[in-house]
Amino acid sequence: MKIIDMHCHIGKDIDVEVTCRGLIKIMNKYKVDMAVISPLGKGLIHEFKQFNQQIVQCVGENEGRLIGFCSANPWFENAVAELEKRIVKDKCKGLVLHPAKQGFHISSPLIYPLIEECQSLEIPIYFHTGTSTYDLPLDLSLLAAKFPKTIMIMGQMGTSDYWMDVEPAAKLASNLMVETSVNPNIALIQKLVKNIGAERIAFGSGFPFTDLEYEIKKIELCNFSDREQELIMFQNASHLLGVR
Amino acid sequence: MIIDVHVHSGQWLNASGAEVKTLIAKMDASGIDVSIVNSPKALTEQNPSGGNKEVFEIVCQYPDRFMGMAAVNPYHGEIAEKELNKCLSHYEFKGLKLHPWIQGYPAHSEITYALLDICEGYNVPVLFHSGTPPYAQVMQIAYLAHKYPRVKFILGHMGLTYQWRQAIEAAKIYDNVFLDTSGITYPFAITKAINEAGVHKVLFGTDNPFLDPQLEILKIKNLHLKSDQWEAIMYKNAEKLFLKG
Repeated sequence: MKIIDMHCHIGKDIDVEVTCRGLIKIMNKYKVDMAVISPLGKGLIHEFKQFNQQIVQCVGENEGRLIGFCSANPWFENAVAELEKRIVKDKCKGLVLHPAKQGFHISSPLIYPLIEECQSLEIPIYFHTGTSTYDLPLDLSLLAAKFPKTIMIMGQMGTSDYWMDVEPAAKLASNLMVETSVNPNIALIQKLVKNIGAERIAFGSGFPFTDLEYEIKKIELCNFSDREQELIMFQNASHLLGVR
Repeated sequence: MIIDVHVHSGQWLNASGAEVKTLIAKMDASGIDVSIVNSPKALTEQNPSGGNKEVFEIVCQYPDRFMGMAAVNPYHGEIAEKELNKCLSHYEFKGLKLHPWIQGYPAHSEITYALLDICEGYNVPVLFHSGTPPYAQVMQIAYLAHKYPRVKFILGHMGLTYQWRQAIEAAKIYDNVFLDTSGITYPFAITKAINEAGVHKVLFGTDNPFLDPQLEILKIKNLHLKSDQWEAIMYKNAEKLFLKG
């Protein structure tokens, strides 16, 4: 079965680090066909242009294996221009926003210009979710309902603590997709498949913060049908990102 | 030998898998010898005795596989104190579980003090859910550890994704603060806990049945620990804490 990992990074953060080559090596080890890569650490904050460039370069060096998601800090005036350049010229497939690290509340009008740009470019937005105050799943549903034409990905399923809000958020906004990394809750993923459908769930690992083997095993232990497993591990991401 | 310090039994909300046979099957499948089990129902239900009695019955039925941990609701006041005393004396339970965000009080609230006094008297540890603002913050529990230096506190889930750093700091500062590995999915944070707080401060836990023991063990195996570190985390620290005081 083919695998697309919707949530990986390259670069260096305070506690973890991985190179482009290091990521490919671990993808090979665990038979991950393609991975979405996005900036981390400073690359989400003031050095997003430099980190985006690294992403584009890494994707270019590994054609067919990696998919770039750029970031742009909404506090910076050049954010929209940077987004447009990375999508149109450099063929990134989506935008990553991390409210807690970039310092804005997920329903703040500060990010409307970026979201409007994503809407006109017809690209999805990946949001880290689950940090108290900044990026709660239900608050994301409010934003998603305001911009119904844009697919928004609820990264890390609300992380550990907000598991109880994931399904209600998905029910409030049909343009929300759920990405499975970091949150260890198998029962939650099973419940989501049953109640919102496997079509709205995409596998992600959160590597290098997490253990890729653990994250893949987590989905295996859900005992889904082959069809559900294929949707989650590959087809939903393939369809969303236009890759195969 | 593997001892799991963070396990639940009995039906609670819509969770499945907490029946004793399922718990044992999962323990067997992942090589866990002993589970220290508490009742989530006893945290919140009106009747303070039902959940703990269920745990007692499981321990009596399978004394080689389970040890009991009490759970009470601090809002029940003297009734909770009486129940805790019964659990620690008559049932010979090995500790107390508190879950401040589910139970609805800040972890360092004064309503927990009488219960902590009882745990101090019996020299048993207290397992707190930790890492969830606003009621189960790591530093709220660290404050209790500061105030009750003779009570041992286990930070369940070692502060989870967003408070593991504070959890490691608290375990470094306070001799009486320990960390359990359940639920956290950042391997580097567990390694950091071992290196910085000391391997003697880290206890293996799964949060079975809410989380899968196979995954929780895989996570520790993939840390590639030395055999003495593995033994400390997987059972020796728990033996010291729960069986030898």
